Amino acid sequence: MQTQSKQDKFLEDLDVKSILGQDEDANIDRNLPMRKWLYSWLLDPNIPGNFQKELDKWVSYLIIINLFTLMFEHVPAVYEPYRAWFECFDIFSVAVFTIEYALRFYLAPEDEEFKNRKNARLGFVTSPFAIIDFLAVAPFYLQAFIPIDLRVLRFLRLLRIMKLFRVLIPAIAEFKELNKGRTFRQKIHALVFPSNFGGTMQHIFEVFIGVWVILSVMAVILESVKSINYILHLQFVILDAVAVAIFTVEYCMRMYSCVEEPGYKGAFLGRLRQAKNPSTFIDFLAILPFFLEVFLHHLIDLRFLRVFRLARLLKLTRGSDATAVLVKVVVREWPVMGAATFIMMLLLVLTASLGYLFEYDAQPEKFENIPTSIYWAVITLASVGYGDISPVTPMGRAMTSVLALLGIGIFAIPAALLASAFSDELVKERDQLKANLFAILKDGHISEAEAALIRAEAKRLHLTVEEVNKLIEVVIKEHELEERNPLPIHKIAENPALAVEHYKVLLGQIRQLGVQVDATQFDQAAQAGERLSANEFALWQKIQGKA
Amino acid sequence: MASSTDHTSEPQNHGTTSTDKLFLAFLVLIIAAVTWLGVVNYQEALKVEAAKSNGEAWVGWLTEAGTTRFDADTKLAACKGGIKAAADAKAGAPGTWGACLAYILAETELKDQINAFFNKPPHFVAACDPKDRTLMGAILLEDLMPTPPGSATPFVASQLLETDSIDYKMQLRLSVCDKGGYAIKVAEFEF
Repeated sequence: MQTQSKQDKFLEDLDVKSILGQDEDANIDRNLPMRKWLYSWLLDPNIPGNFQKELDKWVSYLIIINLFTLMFEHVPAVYEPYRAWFECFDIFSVAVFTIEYALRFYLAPEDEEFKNRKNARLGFVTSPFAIIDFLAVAPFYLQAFIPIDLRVLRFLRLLRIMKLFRVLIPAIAEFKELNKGRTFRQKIHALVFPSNFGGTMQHIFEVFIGVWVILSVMAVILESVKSINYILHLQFVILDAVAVAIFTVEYCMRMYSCVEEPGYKGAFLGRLRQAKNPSTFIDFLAILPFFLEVFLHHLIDLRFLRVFRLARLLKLTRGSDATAVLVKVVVREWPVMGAATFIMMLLLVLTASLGYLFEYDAQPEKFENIPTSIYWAVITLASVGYGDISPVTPMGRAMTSVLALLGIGIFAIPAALLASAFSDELVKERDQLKANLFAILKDGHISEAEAALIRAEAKRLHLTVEEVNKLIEVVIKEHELEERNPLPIHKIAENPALAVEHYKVLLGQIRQLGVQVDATQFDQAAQAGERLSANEFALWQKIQGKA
Repeated sequence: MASSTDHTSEPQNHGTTSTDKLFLAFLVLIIAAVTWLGVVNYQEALKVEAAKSNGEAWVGWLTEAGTTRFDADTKLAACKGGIKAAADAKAGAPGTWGACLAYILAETELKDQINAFFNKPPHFVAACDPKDRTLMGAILLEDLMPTPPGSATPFVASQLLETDSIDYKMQLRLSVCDKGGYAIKVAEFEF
C-alpha cells in the first residue's frame, strides 16, 4: 500500500516541462545585486529558462542578415535606391552589437571565466571572443575620426561573421566531447544524421542546410522575375554554385557515413539502399540540374532545368514527419482511394462522352472530340467551372446540372478518406505514446533514456506540455483503474460514469493491443481454428479502424 | 525523424583510416570539380553580362540620338528623322534603318562591340530561339507599333528591318539573346 502511495505521489509530482526539455521559468532571486541579477538573466549559460539562449540566437540572426546586406551593398542597382535603409540597418546593427559588448564588459566580473582574475574586465577585453566583438563594431566608430576607404570598411565589416564563433565554438567542443573515442566515419555520421552523438552541432548543420535550401529556392523563384534576374544574374549564378557545392558535400557525407545507420550495413549494399532512400534521392535531385546544365545545356532546355532546381525544397521534408505520415496514410488507404478514383474516372469518361454526344452538333469547335470533353467534365466535376467551354443544348445543360451535383460528392470522397485516415493515424500514434507512457510510469521511475523517448515522441507528434500532461492524466486514471479498482463488473455497472470510464479503458487497451501486435499474424491466429467468431473479428477490425 | 540508435557507441579505431583518407580525397576532388564547374558557369554568365552591356550601349546611343535626330542641324545625317524613304527603298537608302545602321557600325564606338559567346561583332536577329544556339549574344531590335484603342495588346512588335523607314519618332525595344537562347529585354525607348 505504501509503495502504491509513493507511486501516486511520483505521478503527481511529475515535471513534464523538464522531461520534455522545455525551459522552465528561470528561478532567479529578485534580491540579488543588480549586476549578478542581470548576468543571471542575460548571460549565464547555466541557468535554464533565462534569456541567454534567446540573446545568442537573435544576435546570430542579426549577424547573418548583416552578411546578406553586405552582399547586396555590392550590387549598385539594389544598393543605390535603398542606400538610406542600408545605412539605417548598419547603425541599428552596430547599436545592438555595442550594447551587447558593453553588457558583457559590465557583467564580466560575474562570469565564471573571468571572475577569478585580478582584473575581470581586462580579462574579458583581452579574451578572443571580446576581441572579435570589438572588431565587429570598431570600424564603424573609426570612420567617424579617420577617413577609411569604403571597400576596406566593408571588408572589416565581414569580421562580424566571426561573432558566430560564440555559438559555434561551444557546439564544436560539445561535439568533440560526445564523440570522444569514435571513428572519423562515426563522427561524420553524428554530424549529418540525427543521433545521440550529434548535439548542438548536428542541429546547427541541419539549420545551415535548411537556410541554404531556402536561399537557393528563393533564388530560383526570383530568377523568374526578369527585372530582378537582369540585375542579379551573376549573384544568382554564384549562389547556385555555392549551394550545389554545399549540397554535394552533404550528399557525399551522407553516402559515406550511412553504413553507421541501423539497416544500412554493408559498404556497397548499405550505400545502395541509402541511395534508393527517397530523402537521399531528393538530395541527389537537388544537385543534378547543376551538372546537367553544365554538361547538357545544348540538349536540354535551360529554363526547364532551372525550374527543376525547385526540387531542393523537398530537402526540407527530411526535417518533418508530415510527409512520412502522408505517404503512410495514402499507402494504407490506397485500396479505398483506388476504388473512389476508379468510380471518378468512370463517371468522367461517361460524362465526357455524353457531353460530346449532346454538344458536338451545336458547338463542334468546343466539344471537338472526347478528350476536349474530358477537360470540360473535369472542370465541371471539380466545381472549378472556368466557363471557357459550356453546354448550350437543353440535354447538355440538364446533364451538366446532374454532373455538378455528383461532382461535389465524388470529388469529396478521396479528400474525406484522407482526412479521416490522418485523424486515425494521429489517434493510433497517440495510443502508442500512451502505451509507452503507461509502461514508463508503471515502475515509478523515469530514466534518461525514457525521458529521451518521451521527448522524441512529443516532438514528433507536435505535442505541447499541456497535451502530454493530459495524456499522463489519462494514463494515471487507467493506472488507478487497473491497480486500485479491482471492482467486479457488477459493481462497476452500478455506477454509469464509472462504467463509461471502464468501457473507455477497455477500448483503449484493445486499440493499444492493435498497435503493438503484428496485424497480419494476429489476423492469421484469430482466423486459424476459428478462435474468433466472424462478429468478434469484425468488432476487432472496427475498433482498429480497419472496417 | 528517424533517429539512429546507440549501436555505434562502441569505441573502435580512433584514427583516420585509409578509407577515411580516400573519402576525404574524394570530397576534395568533388569540391574542386564543383568549383571548376561554378567558374565555368560564372564565365558563361559573364558572357551574358557582356551581351547585356552591348545592348545597353545600343540603347544609350539610340536614345541619345533620338533626342537630336529630328533637329535641322543634327550631326546624324544617316539617322535623321523626317526624311521619308521611298516605298520600295532598298537597304541603305537614305531615311531607312539600313543607312543609320551602316553609319553606326562604321562611325560610332558601337562598331567595336564583341559578342563574347563567339568573339565576333554581335548581329541583329529577327527573334531569339532556344533551339538555335548560334543566336547567343545576338541583338533583337523591334519596332513597337501601337494598336488601335480597345485592342487586347497595346502594341505589336516587329523586327526593325534595314529597309524600314525611320522618318518618325519610333518606340523601340531592344533585347539580347542569352546562353539558353531566350530573349533578355534590355529596354524600351524612343528613337
